[in-house]
Amino acid sequence: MNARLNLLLVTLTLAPLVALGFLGQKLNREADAEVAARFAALERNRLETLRGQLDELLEIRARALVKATDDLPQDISSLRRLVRRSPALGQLMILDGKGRRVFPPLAQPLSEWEQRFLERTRGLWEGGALGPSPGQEGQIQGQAPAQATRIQRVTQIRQAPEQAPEQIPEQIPVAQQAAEIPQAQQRSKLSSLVTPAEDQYGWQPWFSGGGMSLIFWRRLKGPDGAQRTLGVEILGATLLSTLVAALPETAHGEASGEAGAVRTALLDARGAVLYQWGRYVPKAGEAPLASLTLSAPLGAWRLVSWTAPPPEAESGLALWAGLAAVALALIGLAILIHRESTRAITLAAQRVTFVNQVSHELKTPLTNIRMYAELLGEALDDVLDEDPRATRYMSIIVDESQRLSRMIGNVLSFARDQRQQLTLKPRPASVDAVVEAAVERFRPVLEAKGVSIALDAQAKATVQVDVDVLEQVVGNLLSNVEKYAESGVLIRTGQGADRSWIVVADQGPGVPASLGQRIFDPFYRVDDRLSAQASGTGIGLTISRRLARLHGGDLRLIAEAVEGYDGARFELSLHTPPA
Amino acid sequence: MRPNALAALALAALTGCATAGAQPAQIAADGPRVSLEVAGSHPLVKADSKEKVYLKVGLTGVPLPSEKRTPVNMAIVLDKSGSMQGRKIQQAKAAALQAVEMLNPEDIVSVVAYDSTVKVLVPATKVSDRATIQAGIHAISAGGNTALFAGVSKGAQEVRKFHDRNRVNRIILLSDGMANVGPSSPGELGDLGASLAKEGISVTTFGLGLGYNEDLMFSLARRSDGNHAFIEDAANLAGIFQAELGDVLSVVAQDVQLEITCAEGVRPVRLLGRDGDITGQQVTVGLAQLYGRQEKFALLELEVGPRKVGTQATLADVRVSYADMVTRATAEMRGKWTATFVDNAQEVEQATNRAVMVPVVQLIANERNQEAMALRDAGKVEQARQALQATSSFLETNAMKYKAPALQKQKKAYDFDADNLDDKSWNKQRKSMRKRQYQLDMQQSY
Repeated sequence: MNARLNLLLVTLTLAPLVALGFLGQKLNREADAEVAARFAALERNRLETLRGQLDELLEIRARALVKATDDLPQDISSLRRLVRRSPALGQLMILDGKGRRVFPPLAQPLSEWEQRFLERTRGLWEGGALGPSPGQEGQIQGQAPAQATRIQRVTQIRQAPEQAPEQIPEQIPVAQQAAEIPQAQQRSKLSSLVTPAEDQYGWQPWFSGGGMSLIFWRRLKGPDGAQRTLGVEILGATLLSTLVAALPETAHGEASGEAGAVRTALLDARGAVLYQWGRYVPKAGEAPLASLTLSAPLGAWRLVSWTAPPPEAESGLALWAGLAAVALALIGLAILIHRESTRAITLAAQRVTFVNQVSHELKTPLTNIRMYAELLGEALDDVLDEDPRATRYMSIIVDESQRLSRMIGNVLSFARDQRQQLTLKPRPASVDAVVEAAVERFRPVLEAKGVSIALDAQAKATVQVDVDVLEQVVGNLLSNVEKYAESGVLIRTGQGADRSWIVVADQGPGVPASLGQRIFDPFYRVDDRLSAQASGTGIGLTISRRLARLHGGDLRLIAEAVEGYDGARFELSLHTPPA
Repeated sequence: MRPNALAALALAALTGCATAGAQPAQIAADGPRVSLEVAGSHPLVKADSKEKVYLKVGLTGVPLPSEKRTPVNMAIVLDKSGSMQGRKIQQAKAAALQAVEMLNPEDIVSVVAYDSTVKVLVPATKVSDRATIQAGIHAISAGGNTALFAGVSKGAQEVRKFHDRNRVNRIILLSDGMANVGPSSPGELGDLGASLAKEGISVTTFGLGLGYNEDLMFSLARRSDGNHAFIEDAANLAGIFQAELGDVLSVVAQDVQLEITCAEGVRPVRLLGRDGDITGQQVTVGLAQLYGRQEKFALLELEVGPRKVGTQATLADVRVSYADMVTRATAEMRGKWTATFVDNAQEVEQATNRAVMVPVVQLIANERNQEAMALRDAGKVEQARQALQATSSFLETNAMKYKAPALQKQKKAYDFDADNLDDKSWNKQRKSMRKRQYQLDMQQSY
């Protein structure tokens, strides 16, 4: 009872909390998603600005290279000295109009560095991949099989500003993968741009030995008027160092993990960090807020950024605070209800105890009254015979005291049952004897009401039975007959091997089948209309069934009429092993 | 190396053999800041056969009076990753502060610290603003990963802000850990060093403790012509910084270009120790700077074709150009090696120039030391030990032959190497070997 109440209260408290929490969380998440989207957009803008800066950096570098390659010396040894000394120039190669190598020279001894450079860039000078492709994009570049595993070429063409300032710079990516990668056919305005240009330059990435370097290429008229293409290698480390120098660093004097902290990183094609800055430390595997691929020729690299989630902490806090407040209110309410109901239960229990004690106290004087009334009746038998009124008064005193005993017996049994203290005290006795005695006790009352009694006793054997229980149950059934029956009652007893049964069927309004088992519930009456005329405690059938079950049997309603008795029909069965 | 250099000069003066170039007239008080010494291993060369000889081109800085010293533009790049926590970072900060104390108000210094990311703690600023610099250095606390490449790149950027060919542009890198953010291979860091060297910036690398990658630190320093040191105990940091500052503050010449032109019939085979370009008959070696009172040299192995007895021939012409830090102009010096071809092998042997042969032996042994290291790296411990022992006896033989205590000392070091190839000692030994190899190859003073 109490456990069920507690469960109910817990459910009442938790259910709205869970519902509120779920809804709040959902709303919160939606708001967060919106904020995150706004942040991502902002971050993307920032990354785009950075990308613009890097583009500009490369453009400045390209212009510096244009300047550095404007008046290249003619003789090889001066060229070599220039390459060695000039900070702007990396390793240099010059090809003539037919794609033949002019520098490093073909028919002269080369230094170790030059040899290594040529090894690295074999595909450029041998396969004619240096500079803008001569019109037929989609052509697969030749490649030294031993070294570079993959050669990619992206060409970016610009008009040299000095030569053609009116022309708008235009980027045309031409991705040309090495032999193992199927060639993507790319349409571009390349050929149309290439043909008229006098002086062009651009960048192309170059992959060799697992690393990326950039090649600055320039196509221009040589001093002899012939077309020349030159390439300058910017090693990966040099390139990256330049980018790192230009990109921001972590501002100092601030702790990490602060709200609004950002981490930005430059990643290579494999996703490894090349350079990173910012106070925020992303967790391993944390998805970046924004990601932006760099423009050609650095298209293999990308910028990503992570940021601490600042605003959701606030709204989350509000949600949790709200939930906590509701939870507190609900818990308070639950505690209040619990206390009230506990008090009511305690009160009821106290009342039961009180009734129980009173009943107990009443039992002894009542027994005495009954006993002495009966004794008096016997003693005065002869005297009273002469006055029928005295006999009637006497029997009324006896009957009423018997009824009162029964009621008190029921109340006490009920109370014991509540405390689970009901016990059996079986002893050898005859069922019929007990039933007959009970019937005899009710006979005057019933006959006075005009109810005829038919007794069919078939359980004479002496068996182990709790006489008090049997007496009480049969008394209760007959008491019901007394209350409700109209014309007659059949009492039939029977016996089996270790079982005895008693059927009490009357002629009266009976019990509607629909009510069935509910008449066995405590304090239940079939009909107020009926009960209005009947008295009683309302626990007679309840305690009778409890007692019958305790005695290894049952008390149940019989569905069909028994030999014309169609009112209330009860069958009591008891476990009665032979004595 | 200093005694060696002096000994070489003394020997050259005593023997008076076919050494040319370092004419005394040129070493005047206001004269060049560099003295050039061109010497061949064999003043007399065996005639009528192909001979292997060595050419040594030695350059010694003439020290400047302290009030005239070259201004410095220095970036101190400190590793502040998690492994630096505690005493190491304290010592590093103390050493950096002390280094700053040694500078003049006109010098420029910047301080960069890196872990997973880089922080420019003190942007390039004149040393006159000492309070800012000290506050910046004090603010360093350790934690995080090791973005070494980015740290050096940012250091370089700070140096570039006041970049001037008339200053000593230098980055001092102190790290105790493996680079693990950004490029981290010796090759990539070497490339970075080379490109910085072209800009006139040298990187000195200090490896602290036993956790750093010595190959990376070695190649970064080597390709940019800085110094390199292995500091096992952070307590020695202050001393090393002092030695480094001693070098930095004594720079007399920068952007030193050494061009050797070999005569017909003389084939330049290889350079010992230093890197350079050999293109046909032309050999070029670049040195970022020369320090006062220190000799730096290039050793070139030559193959001389057969010539007739009695011929006297110039085998190589040497041209040196450098930026004089006092006059702020480019100066040039020339020298050459002339040898006489004789028939008598014993005569050739007796005339052998010990001042050249001793460093030749040193650097050849140094090469073999690196080969032994490669063997040990490949797990061939026994072969490495044998190689080291063989080199040790090679050194001993030559130590007797040339009566050179320096070779004897080197032999002892190699014996020690051979005894410390076991797994337990190897990490530390390798670092100290790398440091010694660097010192010999690059003639580092400390």
